[in-house]
Amino acid sequence: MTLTQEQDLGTPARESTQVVSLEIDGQSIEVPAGTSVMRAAALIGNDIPKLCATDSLEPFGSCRLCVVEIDGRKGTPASCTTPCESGMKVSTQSPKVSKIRTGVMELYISDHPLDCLTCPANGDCELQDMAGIVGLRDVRYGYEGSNHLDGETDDSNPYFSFDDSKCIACSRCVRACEEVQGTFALTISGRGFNSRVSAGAGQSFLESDCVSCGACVQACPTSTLQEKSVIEIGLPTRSVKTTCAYCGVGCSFTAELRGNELIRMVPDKTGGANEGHSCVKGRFAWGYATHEERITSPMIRDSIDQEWQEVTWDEAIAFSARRLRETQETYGVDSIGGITSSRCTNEEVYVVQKLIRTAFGNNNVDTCARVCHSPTGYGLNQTFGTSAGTQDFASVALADVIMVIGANPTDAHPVFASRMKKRLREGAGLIVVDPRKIGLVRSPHVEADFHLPLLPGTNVAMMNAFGHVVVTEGLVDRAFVAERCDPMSFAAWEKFISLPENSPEAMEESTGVSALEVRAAARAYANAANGAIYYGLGVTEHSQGSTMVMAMANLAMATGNIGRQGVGINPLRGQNNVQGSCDMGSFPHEYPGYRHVSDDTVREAFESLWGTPLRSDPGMRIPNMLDAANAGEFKGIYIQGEDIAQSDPNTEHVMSALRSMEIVIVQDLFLNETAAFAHVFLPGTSFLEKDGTFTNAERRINRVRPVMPSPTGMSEWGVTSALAQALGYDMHYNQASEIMDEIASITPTFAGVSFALLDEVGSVQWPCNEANPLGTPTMHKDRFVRGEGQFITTPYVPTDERTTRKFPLLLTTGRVLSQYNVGAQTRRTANSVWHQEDILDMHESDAEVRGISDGDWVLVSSRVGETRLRVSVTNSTAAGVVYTTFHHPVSGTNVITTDNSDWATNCPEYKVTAVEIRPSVMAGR
Amino acid sequence: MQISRLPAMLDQITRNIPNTGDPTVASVAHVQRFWTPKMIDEALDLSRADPELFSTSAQKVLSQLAPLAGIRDAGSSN
Repeated sequence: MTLTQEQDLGTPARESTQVVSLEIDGQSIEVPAGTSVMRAAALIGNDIPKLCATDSLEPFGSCRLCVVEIDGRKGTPASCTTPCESGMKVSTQSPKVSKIRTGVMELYISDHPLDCLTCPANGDCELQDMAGIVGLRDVRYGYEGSNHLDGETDDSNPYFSFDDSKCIACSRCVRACEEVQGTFALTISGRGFNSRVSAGAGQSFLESDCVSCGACVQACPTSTLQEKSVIEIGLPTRSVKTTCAYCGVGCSFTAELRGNELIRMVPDKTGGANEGHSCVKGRFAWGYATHEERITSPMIRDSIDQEWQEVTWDEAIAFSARRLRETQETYGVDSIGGITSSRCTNEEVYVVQKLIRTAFGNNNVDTCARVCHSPTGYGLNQTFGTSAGTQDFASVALADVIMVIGANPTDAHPVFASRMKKRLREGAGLIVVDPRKIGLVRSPHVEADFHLPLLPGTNVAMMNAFGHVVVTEGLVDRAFVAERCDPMSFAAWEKFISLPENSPEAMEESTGVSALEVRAAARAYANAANGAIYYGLGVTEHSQGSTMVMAMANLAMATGNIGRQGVGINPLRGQNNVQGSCDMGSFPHEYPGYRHVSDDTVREAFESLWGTPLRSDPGMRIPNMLDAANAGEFKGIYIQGEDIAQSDPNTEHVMSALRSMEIVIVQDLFLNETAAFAHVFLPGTSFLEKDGTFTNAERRINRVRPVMPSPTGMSEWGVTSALAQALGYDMHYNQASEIMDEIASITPTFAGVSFALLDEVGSVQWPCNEANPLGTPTMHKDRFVRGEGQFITTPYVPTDERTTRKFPLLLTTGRVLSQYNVGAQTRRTANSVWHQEDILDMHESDAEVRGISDGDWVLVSSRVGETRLRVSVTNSTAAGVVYTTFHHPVSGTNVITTDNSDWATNCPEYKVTAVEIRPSVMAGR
Repeated sequence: MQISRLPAMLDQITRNIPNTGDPTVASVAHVQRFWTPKMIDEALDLSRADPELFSTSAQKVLSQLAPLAGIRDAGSSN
C-alpha cells in the first residue's frame, strides 16, 4: 500500500498486435489481446473490487471478489483471470455479483480482527476499502473467527513485521516474492482454513531466504506485512518523488513523510529503472541520513593531531581558501587537486570539476570511478565511440542468452537482477564467468547453463578464447561486421584472434577452465538470436580491465549483438551516479561530455562560458596525486563524498600521502576514515536533502528532489561555489536547475535536458539531442557513435601479481547485498543485522591444509600488508581463491590490496592479490 | 623519496597497448593523452639518470617523447 493513490489496474498490461473490441457496462473499449476484463474495466474507470489482484502480479483468481457477468456465459467468472474477447458484453455490477461479493467479504471479515481504529493500516488498507465498496453492513458468521485471530506476529525482520492474524491468504506476498523479486522465499503452508503464509520451513523472516526487498510488504493489501516505521509513527501525510542513492540501478522512489520525518520509501511504479521494485538498501536503509553520528556543522583544525573546532560556514570556507592559496604559492599551482564523488548529483560534481579547472587553475580532478569503472569509459570509447553502456535495463527481457561476467547482480544490483531472473525463468540461457559460484549460478528456478570459474586475472584469456571459437567455427555475423564495422580493424582482429595461442585449449592452463566448456559457452552466446553481456567490477578492476572491456566489445560486434533490444555490452555500475560523475567531466583529461582538454575548440568554448583561461594539459589521476603527495610535491586536496583511506588500494600508501598534505578538505556526512587526515570538514547533504539529478548505469537521468531540509544549512553545490568565490573565481548559481542548464548548454549529449523536462517526462536516457530530445534507450542502432565499430586486438598479458610459495592464494573482493561500498551508509542502519563484519570465504581444501575451521580468525598477508578476518569455509570459491568484502573499516581489506592497476586507466587491481592465510589467535586488527 | 612507479607504468603500457599499428607510436599517443607533462618530464629525467630503470620498449617510447616534452609546459596557460 502507499500514500500515493496510483490507479491499480488489477492485472499487468499485455502487448499484442491484435486488438479486441468489447463492451463493459455499456461502454465500448479496445484493448490488446490478452488483456483481462478487470484491466479493461479499470481503463474506462470502472474499478472492479479485488483483493488478490494487483497490476504488478499475474492474475491468480483466488479472492472471488472480482466476479462479473458476461452475456452468453454461465456463472460469474473472475474478471482478473478472464481475458477480453471481441464482442464480449460485460456487466461489472449487478445484483447477482453484488451478493457474491458481499458474501465473500463476510467470510473475510468474520476471520479478521476488527481493530481498524488502532490498526497501523487504518486509512491505507484495501480490505477496509473493499468492505466499504461492496457495502458490507453485517457479518452473519460472527466476528470471532477461529482460524487466524490468534495468529502470531513475526517481528524478526528489522524493517517490517508479519502479523498472521491479519492475513487473508490472498498470496500477493508469495507471488510478489516469486514474480517480482524471484527469491521464492515465501509459500502458503497448510490447506483450507489452515492456510498460512510461511517464510521458509517454519522459519522466521530473518532466518529465511527472504532478502527484505519489500515486494511482499508493497503487495500486501492489509497490514499483515507492514513497515515498522508506519507501526511506530503512523501513516505519512506528504510525499516527494526522488531517486535512490545506492547502486547504479538508480531506482525511483516516493519518499513518504509526515512533516519532515521520513516514514517510508515506496518504489515508484513509473520509475523507468525499477518499475515499482526495490531492494533492502533503497527501500529500508535510509536511516543513516538522520544518524546521530552525522556531522552537520563545518569544522577546521590547523593540524591533524588537534581536536576539531566547530566554525561557521564563512570561517570554514575562508580557512580552506587561504590554505589552498598558501599551498599553491609555496608548492606551485599543480600542488592541489580534488576528487568528485559518484554519490553526489551531476550538478554537485559539475561544480567541483569546474572549481578545480577554474579556481585551482589546473586539471587535477579525478573521481571515484577511477577505482571502479574507468576502464569501461576507456574501452567502450575506443570501440564504440562513447563511454557508456549500450542498453536500457528493460532490454534484458528480450535477451536469449545472457552472459554475466565479473558481476554479482543479486547482491550488488538486486533490482536489475530480479528483471534478469525473470527473463531466465522464461527460458533465456545463462553463462556466468566468475571465479565464485555467485547466487545466479544456482538459485530457485534459475540455473546457469555454464559456470566458467576462471582464475582471477584471466578474463582477457577467457574472452579471447570466446573470440577464437567465434572466428574459427564460422560464427561471425559477417553481414553486421561488413555493414557496421571498420573492415581493416576487423581483419586485424580476426587474424589475431585466430592464432592458436588464443584457443580455448591454449588458454585452459591460464584460466583453469575446460576448453570444452569454453567452446560450448562461446557457441551458445554466438548462436543466440539475442546475446547480451552484463559485467561489473570483476571485469574492470584488473591490470587488463580496459583490454577486457574492448575484448567484450569485439565479441559483441563480431556476433552482431549490438544496436537493438536484447543485446549489448552493459556495465553494472557500482555507485548510483558513476555514469553521471564521469559524464560531468570528472576525469583529469576530459571536460564534461568526454572531450579532451587539449581540443582547442572545446577548451575555447569552456573558456568562453566560464570566463577564464583553461589548461590544455591533462591533470593528475588519484594514484598520481597520491604518489606525488608521497614524493612531497602534492600538498592539498578537496575530497567530495569519498573515503579514499578505506576504499582505495594499499591503505598505508594512501594514509601516508594524506598525512603529508597541508590542506585536506573532506566534504561528507560522517567523520570517515579519510577525515582523520583532514584539516577541514565540510558537512555534506544526504540524498534526501539534495536537489539535482543522478544518471544511472543505463544513462537514465533522474531527478533527485529535496525531501527534507538539510541540517547543514547549505547545499553542497553552494559550498563549492562559495569556495570558488573565496578563491577569487566568480561562481554563482541561485538554484541547482541553473547548473543543469549550464551543463546542457555546453554538453552535446545533454542538449535540452532541464529540471523542467525531467519533471514533465520523468526521466531521459542520454544522448539527448535534436533527433532524440527525449533520449536514446538503445545506442548504436544504425551506426556507432564513432561511425564504424572499431575492433581492437587484445593480447592477454598476465598480471604481475602472481602467486608464489610465500603467497600461494589469490584474494578477490566484492560486496554483499545488505552492505554498500565502504559501509558508511549501511553500517549506520539496521542492515548490519545481516552483515556485522567482513568474512573471508575459503575453500575447504585450502582451509584444511592450513588447519583452519569455519569461524576461525586468520591472518591474511600480502606483499603490502596484513589484516585479520574470520573465515567461512565454503565451496562457493574455487580452491586457491579466497574472497572477502570491504564494508567495514576495522577489517582493513584494502590494507592488503596492491598498487597494481589497469594499464590504460590506473583502475586498481582489487580483484587479484596474492596472499597467504595463517591461523590467528587474535581477533580484530 | 619513494621509488617512482613511472618506469613500471610505462612498461605496462607498452606491453598492453593494442598492437594494430606501431606499438611505440601508440604508446606515445597514450602517454600524451593521459599523463601530465610533469610525469613525462620526470620519466625522461629518470631515464637520463638511469636508463636501466626502463624496459627496452619503454625506452623507445621515451625517445619519441623527448623532443615533444618542452612543447607542453605545465602551468604555462594559467
